[in-house]
This record gives sequence, C-alpha cells and structure tokens, in this order.
Amino acid sequence: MRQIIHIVEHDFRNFLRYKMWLVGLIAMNLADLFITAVVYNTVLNPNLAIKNYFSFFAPGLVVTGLFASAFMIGREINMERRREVHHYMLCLPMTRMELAVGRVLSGGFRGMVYMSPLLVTCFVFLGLPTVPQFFVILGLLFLTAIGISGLSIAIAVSTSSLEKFVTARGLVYYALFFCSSVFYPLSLIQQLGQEGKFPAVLVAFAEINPLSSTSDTIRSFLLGSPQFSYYSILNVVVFSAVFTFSAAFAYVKIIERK
Amino acid sequence: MVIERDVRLFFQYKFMIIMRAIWFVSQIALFGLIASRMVSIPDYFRYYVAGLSVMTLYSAAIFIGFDLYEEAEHGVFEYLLSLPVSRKQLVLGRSIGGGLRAFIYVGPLIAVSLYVIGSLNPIAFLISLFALFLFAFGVSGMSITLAVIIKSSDRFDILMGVLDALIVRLSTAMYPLVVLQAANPFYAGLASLNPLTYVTDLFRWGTAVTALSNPLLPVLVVVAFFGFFTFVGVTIYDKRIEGGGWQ
Amino acid sequence: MIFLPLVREVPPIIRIQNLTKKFGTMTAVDHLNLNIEDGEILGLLGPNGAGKSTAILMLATVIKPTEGTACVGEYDIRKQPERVRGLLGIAFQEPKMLWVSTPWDVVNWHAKVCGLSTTERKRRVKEVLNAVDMWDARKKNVHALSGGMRKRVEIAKVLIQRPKVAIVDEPTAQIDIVGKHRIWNMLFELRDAGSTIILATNELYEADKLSDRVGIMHKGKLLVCDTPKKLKDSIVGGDIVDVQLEEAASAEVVQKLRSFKEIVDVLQVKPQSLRLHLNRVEEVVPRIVSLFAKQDVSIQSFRMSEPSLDDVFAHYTGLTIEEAQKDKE
Repeated sequence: MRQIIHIVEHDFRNFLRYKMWLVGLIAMNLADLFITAVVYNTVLNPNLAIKNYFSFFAPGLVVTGLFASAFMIGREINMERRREVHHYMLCLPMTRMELAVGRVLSGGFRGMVYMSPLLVTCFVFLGLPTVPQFFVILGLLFLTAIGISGLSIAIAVSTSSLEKFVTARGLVYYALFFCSSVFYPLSLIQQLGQEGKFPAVLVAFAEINPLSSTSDTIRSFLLGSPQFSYYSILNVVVFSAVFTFSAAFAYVKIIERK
Repeated sequence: MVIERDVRLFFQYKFMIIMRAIWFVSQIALFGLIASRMVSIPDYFRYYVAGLSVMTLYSAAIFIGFDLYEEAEHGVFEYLLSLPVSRKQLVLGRSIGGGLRAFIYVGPLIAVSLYVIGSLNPIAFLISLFALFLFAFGVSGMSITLAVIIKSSDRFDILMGVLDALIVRLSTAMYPLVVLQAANPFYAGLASLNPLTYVTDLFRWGTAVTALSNPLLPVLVVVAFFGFFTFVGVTIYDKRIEGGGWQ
Repeated sequence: MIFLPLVREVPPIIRIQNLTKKFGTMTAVDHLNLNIEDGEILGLLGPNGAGKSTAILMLATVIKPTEGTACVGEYDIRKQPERVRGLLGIAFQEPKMLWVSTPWDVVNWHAKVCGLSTTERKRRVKEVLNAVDMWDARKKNVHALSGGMRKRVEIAKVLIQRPKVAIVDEPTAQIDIVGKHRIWNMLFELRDAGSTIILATNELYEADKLSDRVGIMHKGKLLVCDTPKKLKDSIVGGDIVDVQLEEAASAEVVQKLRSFKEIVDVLQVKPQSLRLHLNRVEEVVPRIVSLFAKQDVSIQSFRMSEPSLDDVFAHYTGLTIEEAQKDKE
C-alpha cells in the first residue's frame, strides 16, 4: 500500500508541473461553457426536452475536464516507454501490480483534482446537491476517472510512438464524446436513431456510455432531469472495473517486454 | 527549400493527419448532425460544416509555432540559422511553408465539405479559396511571431490554448453574428474584430451557404491580417531569432 | 588440544548461471556465468554492444532472461524479483527521469520509495546533492540540465539509497575529469560502507582504477574475469623493459638475460639498447639490475611499462576496444 501511495505521489507531482497546459485546458473548457453554451442557449430548439443549454452543458463539461486530465497519464507512460524511463520504474523495490495499480489510481486522482473547479462552477450555477447525492457524484466521477485512466494506460502501453498514441486517443475521444450525452441530450440521439438518421449501434453505445451515465446522474441530481437510474451507477462500476484491471494487466505484461 | 522542408516534415506525421481527418468527418457526421437538431438556426448543418473547415485550417496552420520549439529543443534551430539563407527568407519560408502545408492538408477536407454542403458559387469560391490561402499564411506568421517573442514553450502552450479557445468561439465559425449579438453584444463585438469571422463568412459565401452583401470588406480584412503578421513576423523574427534563450 | 579457528566460507553475493538474453535471432548475452563476491567492485569492461547493459537489466529484473538465472543474495531473479529489487540500486547508462521533474524531486522520491525515514531523507538529500554538486540546481527542470548534470542526478539516486548491491552503468560518461574523480571517490566510499558494486564501463582507466576484478565482455560473452594485475600478467611477455646501456651489450649478458624464466624475449634494438619482454616485471627488475652490476655493465636509463586493459582486451579478442566498437557499428 505504501508503495502505491508513493507512485500516486510521484505522478501527482509531475501532473502539477504541467501547470501551463492545465491553464490552457481550463481556458478552453470555460470558454466552452461561458461562450459556446451561452450562445447555443439563445437558439435552442423549443421542441427539445432541455430548456437551458448552459445548465445542461455544465455537468457535461465536468466530465470533459475529467477525461482530459485522467487520460494524460497515458501520454506520460507512452513517453516513459519511448525514452526507456520505465526501466527505472521497473527496478524499484515494489511488485509489478503495486506499480500498475499506482499508475491507474494516480491518473484517476489527477482527473478528480483537475475537474474539481469545474464541478464547483457547476454547483455555483446549478445549485448544490444533497449530501448523499454529493457523495454519489464524487464516487461516480472517481470511478469514471480511474476507468478513463486505465483505458489511457492500456492504449499507451500498446502503442509504440507518440503519434500512434495521439491518434488512438483521438479515436477514443470522438467515440466516447460524440456518442454520449455530454454535449446533447440522449433523447435527441435516440430520436435520430428512430428516424434512421443515426446508426442503431451508435445509439446503443451512447446509452451504455459511462460518460452519458456520469453526466446524466449529475444532471438528475442538480436539474431533476433526466430521471436518476441505478443502472447508471452499475454502468460506471463495470466500465471502471473492466478498464482498471485490463490496464493493470496490460501494463504488467507489456511494460517488461523489450 | 525552406517551404519544401516544412511541407515534407508535416506529412511524415501520417497518423496525426489520419486522426485529424477522422476528427473532421466525425465532427460532421456526429456532432454536426445532432447539433443541427439541437439549435434552431436554419440550415445549421451546412453552416457548421463550412465553419468546421476553416477551424481545421486554423488549427493546422498554428502548428508551425510548436515545431519551432521542437526544433529549438533538439538543436535543429541552430542548424537552420547556420544555413546560407537570410533571416527574412527563413521566416517567410516558414510562414508560407506552414500555411501551405495546412492548406494542402485541409484540401481533401474542404472537398468533403463541398460534397456535404452540396452547393457552390464558382467565382465566389475562388475568391474565398484565395482568402483561405492568405488566412493560413497569416495564421502561420502569427504563430511564428508569437513563438519567437515568447521563447518559452510553457507560456506558448498556454497562450495558444487560450487563443484557440477564444478565437474559435468568438467568431462566426460555429454560429452567426446575429446569434452572438443576441447572446452577448460584447461577444459579437469581439467576433467582428476576429479575422476568422471574415474568412469563414467568405467561405460560406463561396459555398452558397450564406449570402454576403459586401465581400470586399472581408477580403480586405484577411489581406490586412496576412500582411500584418507577415511584415511584423519578419521584423520580429529578424530581431529575436538569434541568441538562443529558448525555454 | 589444538583449537583450529573456524573458517566459514562466505558465499558470493551474486551468482549468475547461464544467463542468456536473445532478441529474435540476436544473442545479446550468451550464457553468462559469474560469481560476484560481497564487498567487491566488479568491473564489466567491453565496447558498446558487448552485452553489459543487457546483463545489468536482467540482474535488475527489468527484462526477463531467455535462459539461465541469477541469485542476488538468497533471492532468485526469476522467482523473487521484488526481493531482488529490494537489494539492488541502479544508476542507468542513460539517466531515466521525466523532463518535468527536478533533481530534488527525483532524489527525494527515490529515497522515499527505498524506505528512508523522513528525518534521514531530509538530511541525506541535501548531503548527496551537495556531494554531486547539484544542490544549487536542485529546483531546475531536468529538461534544462546538461547531460553531465543529469548523469550526476542519476548517480545521486544510488548514493542516497546505499543499496546492498549497486549497479552503475558508465557512471562518468559525459562528466569532466574533476567530476570523474569525485564520483570515483564516492563509489569507493559506497563500497567501504558495505555495498558491492558492479561497474559497467568502456573506459579502460576507470575499470583499472576502480575494480577489484574486471570481467571482459565481447559479443555477449564473458571472456575472462580476474584482477587487473592478473589479467595483465596473463599476457605472456606483456611487460616491457627498455634498457639503455653505456656500452654495447655482450652476447653473454644477453644470454644470461634470456635464461631468466620470466623473460620471454630479449631484443637488441641497437648495440646499446635492449628491449625485454617479460612477465611480473616488478619481481624481475631487481635481479636484472643485479645481473648488470655483476657483469660490470653501466646502465644509462631504464624504462618499464606494463600492458593496459586495452592490450588485455586485444589479447583475448584480437581487437582493441576501439576496433571492436567500430566493428559493432
């Protein structure tokens, strides 16, 4: 356990050294909320279930921020592998599993820290949840973060160059974000699916997408809509478990290869 | 020679190019499609596709600034400065090279846009293409100018991130000026000073998505943008480029 | 009754048995067999590509062997790798640290992971960074450090850890002569404090100066391993004595010199100039001088030289280290 904490501390300290990148990312995220969301709010389709796009988008922004920062651990691990810095990590006095779990957890914690100002912004504009709801939100966000971190690590150890990693990251991002309720309501995607204008497989993907589950759970607590479902929590738990363990497994197996 | 080098190096990043192309297509097919249902702007899908093309050109053209830092880090910069090429030629070559490769890269994506938009005003389109050329060179020049002024990759990263956030969102790339005006007049004011607004409007005029009462004004704005950053870029580059100090 | 003192044989701290690593069809380390004694400095000498770093990475459990195994202390590298890592500390050939870190971060965190207490860690981080002359630069990004400075930070990790077995791979590459001597002294101190040191290097002087024993590697194989002195003595006639006489040497003097069993050959380069190829020069010289005195031969000058480790390498491989390096390229 102690060694896992050391690994988390190591990755966290490195995360804080990317201050400039983080500030740039926050600027983009806040611009999305205070410019794009505000503008879209004035031209929202009156037939939609949502009446205020700014309020709708704010929880989605939290998930966007969480994703970007939790995914960053993969980039670092990819770079470590390319520069053979991982040899140093491998010769430390800890088991491989401690090392792998530490990396996954640190990605998750990093995501949580980065998104916290965005979550606070959400609460400022949308109101506070109840205490149990707050802990459910935090728990869900943490599970999502470690799942994303795990996914990122699995991709990082499977790709041999930065270019390939960035490409894979892009593909994952497009699939996860565009086919989710982060930017638009799930009901709209389902409606387009029923009209045959959106592939059914992508509609199904959007429905089981953990980013949809996390965003919608925050919305259900803060906005009262969509309706809360325990299925969302189960969805995120499964996603997190699958990618945490596959990342740990992939990290241990692939990182030792030469 | 300098132009050829920049174009050649850019196309070595095959996966990045493929990824951006996929990003472009998925933005159209997924985000654009769904967003057009979400907002009540008429013909928003075609409006968005046209704006997306110009946004993509912008992000490709800005890349040259990041290349400068990579080169400084690996010592390639000193090599370029040691070549039998004047500083003015070097900066013009980088600027044009950066814009040209962005344009070549975005070319196929513009073709996809034209197919999706499904309409064209030939003469207007040629004028808008010319404006896109100049815009790309101007953006590259801006990127190079800022890179040599700042000479710190951290600060450059943050500035580019903030600029990207503001330039794209405070323009008509994603929504019309009247919509921006209704949302926040201050935003509309800033958008009307943004060269991205003018070049996007020209492109929409060229692809018959929207009309333009006076195309001359946007063209002049783009020419001025190009001229300013090329001239200023050359001057500043000349003064700042030697002496190292890259962080 | 006679009480004989008990002589307990101390087992080697590292036992390497048939350690092999193959990458596809290329054999990087070929059936390495070696015992390393507790408290010794073992130099692994060889050109780039000889297999030194690969052997080290296997011992450090960073990469898995294709065949064979090794025991560090009582732990097998295959079966108990984390125990092995608890005994080892390694300073890599290329410094392994993220460029956004600082020297202070790197050394402090390494000390934490290796189990130093907070009080001891705070004291020793400053001590070690001062020792490698990196205290002033402790808050600079690794990115901004020169190659030599990064190397010193890499060494600092081993120094702060004081492991039972320290592995240093080319510890003074990219470092100036003053820095080299400082690091060599620190390695001696580390050994005196109880660490066994494996030193991988292609610098002959470094191997000669530091090592209790030197193992010569070439193309993945360990060719020979012994003390530098014995290695040099293993070259028949490797020591050279050049004698300048005041008068031409007589045939009788030359004959008597040839009768010494340590003298392999006597060349009369000029009538007054003799070159002797011999072994164990330090033992034979007094007898040579005594012979000249008895024969009433006056010596004008006397010069001795012994073979270098490069000569030893050439003796066993047929190539100098430089030629072997070029051959590899």
